[in-house]
Amino acid sequence: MNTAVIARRLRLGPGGATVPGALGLIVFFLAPVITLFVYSFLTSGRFSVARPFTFSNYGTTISASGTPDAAANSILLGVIAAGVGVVIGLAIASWLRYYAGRLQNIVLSMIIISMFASYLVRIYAFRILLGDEGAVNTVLDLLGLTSQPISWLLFSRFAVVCALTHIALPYIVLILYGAFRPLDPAYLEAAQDLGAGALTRWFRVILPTMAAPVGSAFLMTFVLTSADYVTPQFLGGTGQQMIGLLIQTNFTVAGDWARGAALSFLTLGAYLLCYVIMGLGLRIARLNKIRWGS
Amino acid sequence: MGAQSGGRIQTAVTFAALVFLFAPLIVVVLFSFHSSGSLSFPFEGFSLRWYRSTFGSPQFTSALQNSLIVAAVTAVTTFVLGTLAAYGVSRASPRLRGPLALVFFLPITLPGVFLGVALLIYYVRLDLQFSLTTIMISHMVYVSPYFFIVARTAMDRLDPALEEVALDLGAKPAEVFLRVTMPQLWPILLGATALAFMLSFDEFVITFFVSGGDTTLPVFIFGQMRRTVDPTINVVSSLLIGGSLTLWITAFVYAAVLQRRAKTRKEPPTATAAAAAPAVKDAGAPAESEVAP
Repeated sequence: MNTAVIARRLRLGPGGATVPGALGLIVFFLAPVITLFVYSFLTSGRFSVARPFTFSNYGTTISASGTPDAAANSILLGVIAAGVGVVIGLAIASWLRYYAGRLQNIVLSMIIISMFASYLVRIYAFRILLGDEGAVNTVLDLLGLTSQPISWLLFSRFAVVCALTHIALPYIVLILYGAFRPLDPAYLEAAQDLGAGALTRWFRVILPTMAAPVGSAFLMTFVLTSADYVTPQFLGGTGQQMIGLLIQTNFTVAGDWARGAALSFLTLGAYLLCYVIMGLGLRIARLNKIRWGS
Repeated sequence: MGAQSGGRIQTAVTFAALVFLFAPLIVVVLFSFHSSGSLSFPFEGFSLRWYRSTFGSPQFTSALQNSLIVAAVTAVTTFVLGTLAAYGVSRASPRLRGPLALVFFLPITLPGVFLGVALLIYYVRLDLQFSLTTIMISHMVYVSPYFFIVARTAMDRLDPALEEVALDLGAKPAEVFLRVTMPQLWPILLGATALAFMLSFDEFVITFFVSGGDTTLPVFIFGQMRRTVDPTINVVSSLLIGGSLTLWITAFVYAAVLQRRAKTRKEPPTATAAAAAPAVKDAGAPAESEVAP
């Protein structure tokens, strides 16, 4: 029985065209995720799992010595990268919307182009840029600002935040630029005519109307940063443990699949919680749906 | 508009951010042409020696070949399955539309590490050998939501009346899809396919878990970065930057050309109508009728 027949039996109509793709995702997306979930309740061998079922993986993962540090470090770096990214992104997006004029298309294209630079290339770039003899220290030295290289640029939280902000920034700008579009300059001029200064306009006009996109840009960057396992390996110093890195080591180095799976689902649960809290917060503040006048 | 001081801050931040976004990439490309092996200033002169040694390395050429194969297969498969899926979702009954769309959107919600480890244990569970095939399957899962979102937005914007007319005139659903729906969508679907190709070509986070002994270009760079830091990585990086830039510009120019062609086809509707039906010729030239009495 081929998929066309199945589709007809299910009375999907033209919806039947979704069947091959949906089957593919069931087999190679849903099934793997469910398998991972089941593994989180099994007992680890080395690079394998076996019965008996147990709930202990979650407990031992949380209380394992490295986990709290990694979680704290991930949250710290995630919040910094997302905060810096969103503030810069807001500045760029509002510039594109209100001040760019003729430069708008050029700058927007440049930002989109930078999106296509390879992920690993960016990490590598910061590695050669931030070293003791890298471009940044060379320039600082030539300008006479420093007498000896700043050593905390590379292999530090600073370097990790730089690279992750670099990766996330183009996406943030695109999300926020879209959010600025319905906000006509007339609203801001009206606020100004009524005596609102620049800060008041930002906090009482701009930010409330785009609370939802700002929130999603922030959370997107936060998730991207805290789940990353490559950047801390190359740019973070020794002892820069992060959740993503911990998950990766559990699977490929330690071979402790059950605990790795438990840690994965704990992290996913935490992300989900963040999204739920944001959604509820926006709803309570009535900022989830903005109705524009015209 | 607004207070000038505010505008000044935003202008400064924007241009500083552009420097922040591009300076690292420019430095990488610059040092790929360095005549010595050093990756720090002062710059000692230009040379192509690192390009020569990179292209001479069999590991690099096989990784490049693997990446091209994986990205091409991923892009073509995603095009076929994704186009069908987007069509199905946008034409499904309203009751089914939401849940179906969610299925195709779901993979984008998981960070790469999770997808990577889930696929890793799943392939081991199924006794599938890690190979280019496992990489391709993983890439299809990863790129499918991006393709789907673009394709579905385009399908939803189509005028359903055209398809209804074709059906009323006796065309079979498959014919309608191929001869009415698809011709309107080519430019955007090609763009989405190019996006799928690029995402797959550059994918590392998931590939790392499912690649086994087969290296793609990003896996090759990762291995190099672990061992040493020398201009070979700059060369491969520059090639990646150049490649995606070329692809992006090509897609952009091609879309612009198609758009212009569509516009010129639409602009003088009277001319085409006149050519098709000589009977309307006299009525179909408003400029003339205005000049004449």
